[in-house]
Amino acid sequence: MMRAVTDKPLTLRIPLHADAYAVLANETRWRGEFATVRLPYETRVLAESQLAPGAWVRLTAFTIGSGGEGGVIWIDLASPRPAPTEIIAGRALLRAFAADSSERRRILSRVLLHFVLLEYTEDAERTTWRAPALGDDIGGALVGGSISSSPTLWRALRSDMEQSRPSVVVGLRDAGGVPLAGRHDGLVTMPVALGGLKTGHLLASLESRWRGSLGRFSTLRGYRWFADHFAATPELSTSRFLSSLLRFGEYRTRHREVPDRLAELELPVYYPSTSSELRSLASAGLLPAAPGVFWDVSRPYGGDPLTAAGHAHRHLGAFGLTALATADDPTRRTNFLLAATAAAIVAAASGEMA
Amino acid sequence: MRGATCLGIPVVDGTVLTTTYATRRLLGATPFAGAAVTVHAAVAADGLVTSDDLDHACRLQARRFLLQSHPPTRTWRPRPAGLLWSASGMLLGLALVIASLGFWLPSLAGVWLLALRPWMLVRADRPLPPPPPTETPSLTVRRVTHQGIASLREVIARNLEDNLAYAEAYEVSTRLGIREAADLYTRLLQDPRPAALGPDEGVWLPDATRQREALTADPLLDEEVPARPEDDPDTIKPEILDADFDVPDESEPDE
Repeated sequence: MMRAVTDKPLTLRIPLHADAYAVLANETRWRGEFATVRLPYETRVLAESQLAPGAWVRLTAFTIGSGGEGGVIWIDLASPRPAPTEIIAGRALLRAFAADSSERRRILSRVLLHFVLLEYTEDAERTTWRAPALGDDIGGALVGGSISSSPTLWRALRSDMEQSRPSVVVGLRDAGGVPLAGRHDGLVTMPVALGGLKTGHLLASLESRWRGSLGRFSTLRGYRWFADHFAATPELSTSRFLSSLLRFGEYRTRHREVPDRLAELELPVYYPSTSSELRSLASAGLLPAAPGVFWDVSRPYGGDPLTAAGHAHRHLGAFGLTALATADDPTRRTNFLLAATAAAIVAAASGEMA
Repeated sequence: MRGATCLGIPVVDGTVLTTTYATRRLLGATPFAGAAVTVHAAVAADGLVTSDDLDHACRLQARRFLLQSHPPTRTWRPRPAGLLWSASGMLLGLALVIASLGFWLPSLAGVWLLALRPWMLVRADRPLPPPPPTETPSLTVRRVTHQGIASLREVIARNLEDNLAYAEAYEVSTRLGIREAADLYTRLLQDPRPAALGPDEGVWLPDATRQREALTADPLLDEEVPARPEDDPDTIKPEILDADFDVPDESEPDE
């Protein structure tokens, strides 16, 4: 039986191979390409500021799409110090949505995409990029998820966010090669409001929920308990949808309970595999909802307010996501950021974040 | 509620806001989830750092060191000697159960050694879950004046050469016992660019008097928007006049 094109599930993949990475990393080549790439976008410079003396950066918003039932997706690529991977992910996103394809047109008819990119100005002195934190647990990765450290830039970002009234805010951050999660590509955190008392007890009892028979750590049991306990919470289905897309891209659409073996072309997302990792997660206020997706319940009203996602969730009621790339290889980190963006856009355009 | 301290250490053309070493240790032992912290921001009384900037930078610094926490945790690992001890006890228990021939006392001792004792040992080795937080999580910043920091600001202000300023500020900070400042000036003597500082070393903030106000979201930057009466150069704030605006070459054709 034939199905109408509009009924087909949406797909979006923005893979970046090593050659394309090198092209986007080359300032001269990108400048030439950018003149064409920027044409379909509405462009606005939000602010210019210094991250350090002489290190001038420009914050620019690029808007595309029509904003249908999927609403406005506000994508934040303005970290405290712009990482090369974040800059390249931003350029790859601009290039991808400037390209003409029927699938892109379908997506853009449902959502309005608002990319906020932070780049150095042409003659600026560059700050030395280092991994945001050197801690060996998950907190080290979460440090990288923060809002801009420049008060001026944060004011401009906040003002733009309030004007755009986004339904979804996605923060894309390079957390560097994190020792704990370095063998994985990354993780996504999502602020969820559960209330103070419930949050405290959940975090305190997290470890015992992830024990199987004989008291041994069991990922399968943990995710099953979570799915049963939060079956009525709307964020659960969104988390599982995102997890499926993040783990398998377009190759799998069905959610599997626990990743038993990583298949070829599957993005190896981070999930806890020992009790001590669960303790680190509980300390940071994260609940593992699905492989690669964590609920940020560090505050009773939902998530860390010093992330763009947490701020938007609390003050604008938007759905928030922070994607943290943790792999050792920069190309893999860029690809994770692109995969996370694609997953969020498809989820919003498919009505999974309503 | 925990108290933390950040220092606004003066550098040439700005301030580097850093967290004291004691605060790093304190916050490192505090779980991020549910933490309630009051940050005392110690700065000079000259008002070169605005309260908004100070508040923003202090919150980010507190968040950084709360997240990089290393709470003391015990992890269960099978110890070879312990395992051997448990296994020998279990074997003895099994032998006792078999050899008891229905007598209840040796059977009970056998069951104890075979099952109950190993189970209790495993339970005892598991770490207790942390208690749920009882405070309302918050990050509050209070500005306090610090005489030592004020002395450092004077040193930085009176030296025209960066290196001389940092060398003298290093000596003063050592004399005053501000270790964080001494370490920062040592780093800046090696490389005077605050851009080269690591993320853990602090957040750079521009001086309020020298700050070139950001070109905020304003139709001024949109080429299509016609000029407004208030855009007249005569009405532009004086500090904006110092900015280096690029003058477009009129000989080039428009796109």
